[in-house]
Amino acid sequence: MIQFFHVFKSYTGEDFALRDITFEIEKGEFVFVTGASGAGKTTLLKLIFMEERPTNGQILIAGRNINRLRQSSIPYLRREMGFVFQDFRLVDQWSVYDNVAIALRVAFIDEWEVRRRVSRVLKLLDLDVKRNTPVVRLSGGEQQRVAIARAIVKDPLILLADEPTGNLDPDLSKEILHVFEEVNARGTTVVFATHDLSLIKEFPRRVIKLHRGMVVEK
Amino acid sequence: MKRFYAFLTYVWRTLYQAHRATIFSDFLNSITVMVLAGTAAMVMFFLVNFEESLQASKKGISVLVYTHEKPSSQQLKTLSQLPEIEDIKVIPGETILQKEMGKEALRVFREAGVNIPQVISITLEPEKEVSEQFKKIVNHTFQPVYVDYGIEVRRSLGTVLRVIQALSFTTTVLFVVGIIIIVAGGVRSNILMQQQEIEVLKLVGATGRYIAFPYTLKYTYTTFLFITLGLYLFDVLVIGSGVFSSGGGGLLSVKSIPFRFYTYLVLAGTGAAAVSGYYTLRRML
Ligand SMILES: Nc1ncnc2c1ncn2[C@@H]1O[C@H](COP(=O)(O)OP(=O)(O)O)[C@@H](O)[C@H]1O
Ligand SMILES: [Mg+2]
Repeated sequence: MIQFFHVFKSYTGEDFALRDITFEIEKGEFVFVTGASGAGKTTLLKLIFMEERPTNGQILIAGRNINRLRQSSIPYLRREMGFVFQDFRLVDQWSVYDNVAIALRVAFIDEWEVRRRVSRVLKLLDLDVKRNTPVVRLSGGEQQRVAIARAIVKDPLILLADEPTGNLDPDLSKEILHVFEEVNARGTTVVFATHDLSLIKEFPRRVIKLHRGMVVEK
Repeated sequence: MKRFYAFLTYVWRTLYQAHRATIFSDFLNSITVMVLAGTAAMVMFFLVNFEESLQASKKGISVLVYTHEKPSSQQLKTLSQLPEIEDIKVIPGETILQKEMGKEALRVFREAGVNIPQVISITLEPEKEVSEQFKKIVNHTFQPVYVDYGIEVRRSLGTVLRVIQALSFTTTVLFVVGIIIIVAGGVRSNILMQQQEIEVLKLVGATGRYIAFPYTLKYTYTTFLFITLGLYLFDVLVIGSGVFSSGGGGLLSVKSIPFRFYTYLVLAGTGAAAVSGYYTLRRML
């Protein structure tokens, strides 16, 4: 599903955020990406999401070489992916409902279906009572759950999560992890970046470990 | 089919948001569009009336033939068979002299024994020129003292009319350019204000067209609304109030702008807004 061949990424042109990354993630896998802060986890996910382009090397997503992808087809590929961003990236003024629904609306899914699917994930993430609240008025933990809801509402082929439990207390973190497992069980490939090793201990899965932009374990 | 309904929902939601946003944001832009439309209509209004009064005086040239011989009815008939002739009148020279210079002058001329020529006034069909055949007939049959073909007047009239047409065209162009600039500027500031929203739309896989569409629609709709409002206000406040038709110093029979002019302005302005909005957006996204 996701293949990296000798991928390098440099933002500045001098030092590399990622160097010589090679790995493969199969369809339906659940993979943790770990490493200290600044190790390159976010950069790795952004490359998969095509928010950043690799400086060197090849990346294949669902069999397609994204180096050769035209700019205009990026939106269509992104509709197959869910991304929980470290900084959420929600629209502050929109309600919880609209923030989640937009992921379906951009693909012109009809409004009745949108309502059905959004209601389901809002219940799953315990956001039902807040559905009409603008997200600015939510706590960090609640916003994080909205971001997760938006990423999973379309049943994506690939779910990318960048420290999605960063703002949650340990109990809630476990609940959220169960949500990710459920999504994974329905066939979605999950790539989960975290520096929280206790989570990995509790849910033993394959780990890709980064250290200063290099893979030290895969 | 379901996708089509989803698309309709999207259009509806966009229009609804646009309708609410129109009143609160872009207030200055909307007012500017309104004033611009009003000004364009005002210029058009003056041009239309100016042209109208010129057209009235353009109705066929009058050729004046001064002669001492009284033309026979056979001669006049030959002339009237030419296609460009609309009307022929024979006016005694005295009548004209009296009309132009007064009774006193006529008396003086008579006492001095001046032989006053009579005038054959020939009106041509509108838009018709004097033909060579016409000149030949006039010169051979009437032995004129002097012929006034009225051509000079006609030439300058044509130039003025052409200038007026050019001015109306320029007005429309300036109006369209104004709309393009206003909309492009509005879209730019709007995008800066809504950067977060646009960023998110891109991240969830919205195409450039999907993002551009609501803004284009919003600006097209707003522009349409305020051009129409501007023209309506102009019609009610300026023409409807009658400031130009009563006591308007010479402009007694004022024509209001033909309705099609309003339609042109609305269509041109709305079209310009749509194109400008979409183009600016696609360049910025
Ligand atoms: N936009 C950027 N411009 C320049 N350097 C960046 C940018 N984003 C990340 N970096 C650098 O790349 C390295 C990896 O960062 P990141 O991928 O965010 O790590 P992590 O998510 O593991 O904390 C860091 O040294 C960081 O400073
Ligand atoms: Mg990070």
